[in-house]
Amino acid sequence: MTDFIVLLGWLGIYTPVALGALGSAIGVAIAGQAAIGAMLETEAGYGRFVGAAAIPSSNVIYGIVVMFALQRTVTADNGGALFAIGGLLGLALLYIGVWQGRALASAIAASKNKSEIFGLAMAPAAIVEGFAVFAFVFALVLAGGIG
Amino acid sequence: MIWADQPYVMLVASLPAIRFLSEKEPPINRARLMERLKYLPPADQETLRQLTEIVSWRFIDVTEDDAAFLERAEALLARISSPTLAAALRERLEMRTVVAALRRRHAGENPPEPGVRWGFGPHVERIRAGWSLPDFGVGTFYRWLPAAKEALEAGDAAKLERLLLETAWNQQARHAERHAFDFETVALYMVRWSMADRWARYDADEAEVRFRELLDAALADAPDIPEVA
Repeated sequence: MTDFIVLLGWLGIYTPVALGALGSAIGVAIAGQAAIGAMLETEAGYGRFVGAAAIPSSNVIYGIVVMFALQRTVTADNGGALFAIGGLLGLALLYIGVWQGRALASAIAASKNKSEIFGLAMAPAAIVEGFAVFAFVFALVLAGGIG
Repeated sequence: MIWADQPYVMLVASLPAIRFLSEKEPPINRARLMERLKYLPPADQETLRQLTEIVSWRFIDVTEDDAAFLERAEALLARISSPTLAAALRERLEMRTVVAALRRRHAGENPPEPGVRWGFGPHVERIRAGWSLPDFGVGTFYRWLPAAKEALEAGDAAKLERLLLETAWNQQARHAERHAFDFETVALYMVRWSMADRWARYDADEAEVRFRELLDAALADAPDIPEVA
């Protein structure tokens, strides 16, 4: 049983990076495809489309930071806590990355027709980013309390 | 899978918005649109081709028998796996049925014989039975019907065309609202593009007729020009 809990602890440490990377990859890929599509129909402003498509990259960065915060000697006492914090943060980062990508794809698709709404169209993706920050900050807070 | 529909993202993002009736031409021409649609998987391209052949007047053979056309439409409906596209197609075919009934009655035709396949939808028999009623007894199902009848009887072809396209456009837009980056979005875009294209061409045809009328009027008083031997 102890070995199993230790295994869970290690999973918890690495999950934020793994799932954060998945979320970022999928989110950037979705928004990136929209950016490429928009470039076919516009004559300028390519850079901002590509820049917007890169926004979901932050999820893997949050995951890496939390991984360092969780990294310690894994024991039967702290394995459960590491798994719970890391696992749930990883799931949150995965889901946030995917949906942030979709929000960005919509923003890019809409603003190619009406460039003046570009900033406002980014708002939903920015708000989603805010939720990722909440999950990230409170994971750090809780990580500080693990023995 | 939550990301399984992503091949459509690039295609949808590359399609310019169509503002119906506010633009003289569709914002993307046929050649460029067809080029973009090549990004679709082959199976989707085939479904889109079949859908367009049923929906777009450009591909409809007016000499084709009603029963044969309905058979093709029903075969396509059976193949379409998307409930949204099936609902949109049904709605379009029902609308065509009602308009066909209006035009046939206006032309002095009698109601179709019982048992003859001439229309699509749940109200076909009711329309046939209510042939002498102003709204065929189906006005509550098709709110646009009284206005269409009025325009047809007034001989205002442009108003009728605009009303029908606008109604069909709103129907398609309602279905499209539920989709963002998937095949349904592309297919419904294609349907709306066909309508915008038809409206643009309709105006062009009308302009040509008007131009000929003006030309004939101007030449009526002109002296005859002797033909070159």
